[in-house]
Amino acid sequence: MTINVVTGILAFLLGVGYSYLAWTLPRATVGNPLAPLIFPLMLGGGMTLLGILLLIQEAVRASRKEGKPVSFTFTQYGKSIATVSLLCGLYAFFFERIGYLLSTFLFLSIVLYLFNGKERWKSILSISLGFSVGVYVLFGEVLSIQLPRMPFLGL
Amino acid sequence: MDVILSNLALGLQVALQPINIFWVTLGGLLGTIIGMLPGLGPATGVAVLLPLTFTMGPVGALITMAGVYYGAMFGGSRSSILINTPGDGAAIASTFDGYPMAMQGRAEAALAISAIASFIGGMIATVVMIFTAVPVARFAIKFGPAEYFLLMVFALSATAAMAKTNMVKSFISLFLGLMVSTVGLDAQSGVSRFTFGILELQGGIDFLIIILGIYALGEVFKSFRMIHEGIRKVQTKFGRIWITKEDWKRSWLPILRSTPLGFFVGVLPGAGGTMAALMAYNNEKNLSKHPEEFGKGAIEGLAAPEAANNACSVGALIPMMTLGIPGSGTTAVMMGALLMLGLQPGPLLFEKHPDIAWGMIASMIIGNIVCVIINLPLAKLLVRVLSVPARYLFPIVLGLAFIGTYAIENLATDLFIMIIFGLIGLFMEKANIPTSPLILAGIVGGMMEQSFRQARLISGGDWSIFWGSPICVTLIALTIASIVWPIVKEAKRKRLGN
Repeated sequence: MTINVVTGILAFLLGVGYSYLAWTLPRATVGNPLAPLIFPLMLGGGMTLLGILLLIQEAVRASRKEGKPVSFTFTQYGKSIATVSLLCGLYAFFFERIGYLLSTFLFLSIVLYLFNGKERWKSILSISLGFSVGVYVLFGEVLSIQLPRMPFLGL
Repeated sequence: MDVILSNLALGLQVALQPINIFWVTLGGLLGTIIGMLPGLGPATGVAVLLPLTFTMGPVGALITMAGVYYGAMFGGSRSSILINTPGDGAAIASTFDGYPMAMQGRAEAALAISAIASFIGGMIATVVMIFTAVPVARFAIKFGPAEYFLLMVFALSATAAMAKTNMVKSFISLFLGLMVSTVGLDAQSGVSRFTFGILELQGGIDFLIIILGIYALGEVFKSFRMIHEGIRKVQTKFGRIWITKEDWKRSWLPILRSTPLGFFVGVLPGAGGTMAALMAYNNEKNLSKHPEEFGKGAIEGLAAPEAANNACSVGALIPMMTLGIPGSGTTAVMMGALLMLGLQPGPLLFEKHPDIAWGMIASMIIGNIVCVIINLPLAKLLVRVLSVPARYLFPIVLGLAFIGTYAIENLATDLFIMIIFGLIGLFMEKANIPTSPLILAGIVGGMMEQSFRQARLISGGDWSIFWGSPICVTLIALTIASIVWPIVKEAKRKRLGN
């Protein structure tokens, strides 16, 4: 299976799923009841066709023995990306719950630690602290955008 | 003519206020720094710095953003010249001769000519823009909703068709963007679409979140392989950053030739700075008496793409400001900034808010001057940013992407949406699907659907309104041509190859 086949299948499924969701949308109570559906249905149909088109293209290419199969092995980069994505998710989850200062400090410290190792702990801590406090003060004081506070200490 | 001059005077009045000069300088400085950093181009720069402008008021905010946009264009080539890594796609052509020049110990001349060529290219293009913006806007006022819809169809399909990869995949990217734009409460009927019962999605997905996800987060993900690289060695000691008479003699004509080329490429939908710079480079190589010197440190090989790139970035603002249709990822972000400030770009912008429209144009003149100052005497200082290792830089960019996203609506849900788009961007990179059609479609999708429905409302549901006027027919023909042309060209190339 090539990455294009994966893309084709995803596009096809997205097109069909989206069209189904569009068709089951509630009808408008004023004006043409189908008005909010027509554009999305066109998009869903288009995406489905594009998915099929890509799959046909790939089938033709495969018959000529072109294209390289997609590998599902996890590379070193893949692992770091997965870890950082997970950390991003956790950061987003705690962003409002424990406040901007603490969540950002922790997030940056961990991500910086992943890339730099513990020997550079001084730079890691100073960058994380500097960034989180700096942004917090800049937004709160200069731009008057209040970022989420910690539930304790009131910061 | 008088009208244009009085408009320009109004614009200059706005742009020359001390506070606005300060904003454009700050924007230019930050933009230059961000533009220099590998992987972070003008689009990311504008998106990441946008939250800083929320409290400035529309004029100040727009002027700052124009400065960032401009600065990033100047900055992109600093890293091309010094470390052979373009700051953004459009600066790729600057590595061809810029880096060899630096290797030969002529970094000063390379930095100087790139700033000078950028300045001249940007300046001439701005003057042309001053005289063409209003006529284009006046013409666009004649457009009804059907024409507008088709114009957007043309702009989007041209962008998708121009992409260098498989056209089907570009169109998948385009349709994905349009789908994203349909999420949320439908303003006309009150029907809630594709929100899956999530209250925060009722307002739709803000395209700035998509941009931050794909450009900022996605760029960091994509660049992970750079993260374990050691510190890059960057030249930090320079002589006087200037060029010799001989350098100028070789460069002035290529600069003047590449400027109109870049400008036209910029005005066309879909082409963008990378193409403008590459076209200018190849053009000069073909015209040169010494084509063998190209790629080995020929100064005109650096001057031409630099001028074209900056002229293109100005030209690209014309369809965005006058028609409300951006032609590239970067101008889409600029348009996002305008919409964020409650301003609808398009023909009426010049009538309803002349101070803002002309203030921005005038501040491009000021911005150009400021950027050339930043990039000549201060270049020595600024290039030190390049020695910040990626392993420190990327986590900070992540932090900026999060704060930028949160500041848009103060919603933590948006952070999750941004992460999802970061991962989508990463997948698209792996699958070699261009992201700019998605961004463009995401930003104009809402307007596209509105025009489509208005047209159908006017005609009472009769579809023939979409081919009922000469403008419509022309636009349909252009759309078909933009899709068929690359296919024919590719088929021809293959036949010749066989």
